[in-house]
Amino acid sequence: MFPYTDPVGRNFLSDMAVASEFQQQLQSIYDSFARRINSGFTWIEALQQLPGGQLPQAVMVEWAAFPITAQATDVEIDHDRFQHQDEYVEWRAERQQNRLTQVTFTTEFPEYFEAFAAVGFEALVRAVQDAIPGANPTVEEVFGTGFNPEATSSIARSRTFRDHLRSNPWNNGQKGILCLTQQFNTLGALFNLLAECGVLKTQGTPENTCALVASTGACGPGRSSDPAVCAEAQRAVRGNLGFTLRDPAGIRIATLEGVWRLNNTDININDPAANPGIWTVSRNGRRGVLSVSNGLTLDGNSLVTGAQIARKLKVAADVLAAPNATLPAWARIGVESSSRGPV
Amino acid sequence: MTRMLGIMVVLVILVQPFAYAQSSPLQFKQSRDGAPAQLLSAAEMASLGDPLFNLVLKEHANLVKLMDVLAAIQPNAANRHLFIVSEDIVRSALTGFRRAVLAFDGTNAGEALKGNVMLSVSFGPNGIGDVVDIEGWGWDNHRGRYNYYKLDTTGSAMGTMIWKLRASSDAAEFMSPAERTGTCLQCHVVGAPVMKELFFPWNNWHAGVGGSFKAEYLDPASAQANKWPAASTPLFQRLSTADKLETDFLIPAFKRFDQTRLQTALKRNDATGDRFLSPAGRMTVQEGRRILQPLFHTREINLISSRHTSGIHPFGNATDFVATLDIQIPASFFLNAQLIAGGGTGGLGGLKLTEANQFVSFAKLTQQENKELVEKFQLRLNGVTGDTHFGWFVPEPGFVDNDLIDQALQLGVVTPHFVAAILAVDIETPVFSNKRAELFQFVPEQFDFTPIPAGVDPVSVPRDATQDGLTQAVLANITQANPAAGTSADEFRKLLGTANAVTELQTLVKAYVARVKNALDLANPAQRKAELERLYGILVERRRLMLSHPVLKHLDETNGQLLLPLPHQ
Repeated sequence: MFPYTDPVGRNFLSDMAVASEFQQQLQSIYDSFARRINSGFTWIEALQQLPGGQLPQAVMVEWAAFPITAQATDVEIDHDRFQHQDEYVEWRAERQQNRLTQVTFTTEFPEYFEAFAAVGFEALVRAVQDAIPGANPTVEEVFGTGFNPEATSSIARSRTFRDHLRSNPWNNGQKGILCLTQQFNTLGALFNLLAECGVLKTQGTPENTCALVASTGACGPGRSSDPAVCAEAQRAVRGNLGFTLRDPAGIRIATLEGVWRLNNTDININDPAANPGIWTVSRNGRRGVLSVSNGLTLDGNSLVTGAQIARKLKVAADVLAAPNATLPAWARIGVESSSRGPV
Repeated sequence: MTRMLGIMVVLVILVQPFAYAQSSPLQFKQSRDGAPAQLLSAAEMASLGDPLFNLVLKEHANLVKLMDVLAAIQPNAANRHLFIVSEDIVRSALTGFRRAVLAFDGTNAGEALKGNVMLSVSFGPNGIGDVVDIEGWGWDNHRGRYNYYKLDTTGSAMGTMIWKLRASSDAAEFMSPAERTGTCLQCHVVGAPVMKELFFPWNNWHAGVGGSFKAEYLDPASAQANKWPAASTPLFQRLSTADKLETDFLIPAFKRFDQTRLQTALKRNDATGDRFLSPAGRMTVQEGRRILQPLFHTREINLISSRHTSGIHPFGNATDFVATLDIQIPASFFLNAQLIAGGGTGGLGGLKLTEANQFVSFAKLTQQENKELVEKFQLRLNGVTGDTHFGWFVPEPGFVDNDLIDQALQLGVVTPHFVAAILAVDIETPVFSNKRAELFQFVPEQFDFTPIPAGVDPVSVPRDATQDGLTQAVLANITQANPAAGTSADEFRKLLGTANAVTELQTLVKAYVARVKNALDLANPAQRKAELERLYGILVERRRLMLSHPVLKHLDETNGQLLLPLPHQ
């Protein structure tokens, strides 16, 4: 099995049982979508077996975190995260005395925490505390009322954890934010998007492939993220490339744009050495925290909402690609149904 | 920017009585195309202080090679960004020209570069030449103005390249069309940089996010065959996308420019230079007509399009067309969505009537319907039947002016009531409205207002009609004019006289949305077809109005061939 790495760069908190759970889950996901008939999406192992030690081409697909589909005000977008924040980025805006004090962005998928939940409540607590220092989650908070994690299977724990994410105060904003929870922001959706859009279309352009596959539910043409990822997948397959998501699979924070000033002095917000702790990206680019102090402005405006910052936040998915003809025979387009998978 | 001074691509090589010798400090200015280069006076030199001047032209105007100029502005190549625009952008054939915009970030010699200096050059398939005409601008933060420069051979009998100051943004807003002729301000209408297609999907720009167009033939990272050799040149290692130019460079630049415009319109305290604040906590606008003009006149436009492709671009492939695919009509086609709804990618505060955005949920047509409309209206692009890459390409209210109004709204210069009242007049005509234009006569030059603290949403502030000096003054002026019933002035007066025009506008928007939604109902094909034809007629008319506008027509640098599809003459 491919040694899928910890997506947040924490080595699964040195818990090999968690690592095993997560890696099996990832293996299943990759395998499932690599078997999509006639899709250029393939197993990650295939990109490691290019002839002559060739390296795959790395493609970064980037988009803005701001949910352009939301027909709502910035305040409403902040408040109704599960309704509006649909670009594989979600955030929690904290206020004190009606003033914005901190915004935490996450691109982490729940599968990571599910692996901890599958191992046990204590493991899950460690994971929550690793993401939110000082957190002291209870069983009821993370699993819901009446759930006994000791008396249930690992699958039941991980499913219950996930099903309860909207009510989990360490995730729903009451006490913190852990991971993506909006209905379209799932790891499966990201893989499905790549696999579906990786099927060669003889009509349309790469840019509107998303609309062509929209009826399958794989792609939301109104979003920023889906059409961008979809177009790249279609470009790849039109260029006779096979491709996959780079390990660790997921979305990472790329950059925070705009002109940032602190007390009327320009600051390089993306440079940790130059931004006096205002913008901190951690967990392998999966978590970003903006501390809002008096005198901090963005494009000349004081900071009022998280949506305002989301407009300037770029995130990215990393794709690896290589000519289909150079892939191992079992990984090429057209052999999906008969392939034995990575060997 | 983008196509800074783009109207001046046709160079006039002057036969000068003598050739000016090139030397290190900037020496020359040129007032307009075709005019001779003239020596800059010491006072004019002393009035320049932007990064392009400070880093290059002040001491090194002899730098004429692009790479030398780039190095003088930002030695670190990683802090340079390359953007590409062209009405030909979708054509990958190894022919023609594209325009490159070069932006910078970081600092150099104490100069903050981000959004403060840009260059623009033209290039062909082989890449950007070593010595080429360069258009450039720099923002002088101290004086609050843009300076525009150009490097070309004008003024040289020997054909050598000479840098010249071409214009500054001072007083640009007041210039007549004749005064703008042949100057940079022919396109830079209010003095700010121009990015015509500012918002998604940036029709004509190399982009890529969200299904926008990616010019793979220019992308060094692309695996596409038959790329332009330009893609392999060092400058293209810094190829970036239009979304970055929008969000990272130009929107901040526009906001800063508008802040300057607004602040300079306010009365100052003679002793301190601070904004004058009366004992009653009131501020005073001294140039109300300059600040508020965009609410009445279309002075700046951007070009917006559907986020979806038409499938019938003349340079596209036959397989691009998929009859059943939707083309969503942008909300700003129907009304001034940026100001009415606020939010969106531009991030204006606005009036927060998000009903204005509802058009995007139902106002769609298929590529087939669009094709039939293109054929019915006999539209031509590049001389043949066709449409822009992304459909429904149309002028919308310029962001730089909408932002100015929004900043005025956030500061309390204008109340939500006043903004709503004027936007309600001729609401279905967000640009080129004669009805709103004729109401500008009632706007006073000076009035008082109660400033709103930073961070407080003006929409959340209860209306106090007694403190709304602007509304009172305009009402008085209209009443004095005694307009006839049914006129725009009468309508405006009634709206201003309501308890809260925001509510009136909301009612209007809802009714407008409902009416168009009903008219486009798929269950009634004949009615839908008629409505699409009506809307398309409006679309075409707006394109015509732009191209017949004495100033805005200059934004089309393709002689009517490639920017806007228009009926065959």
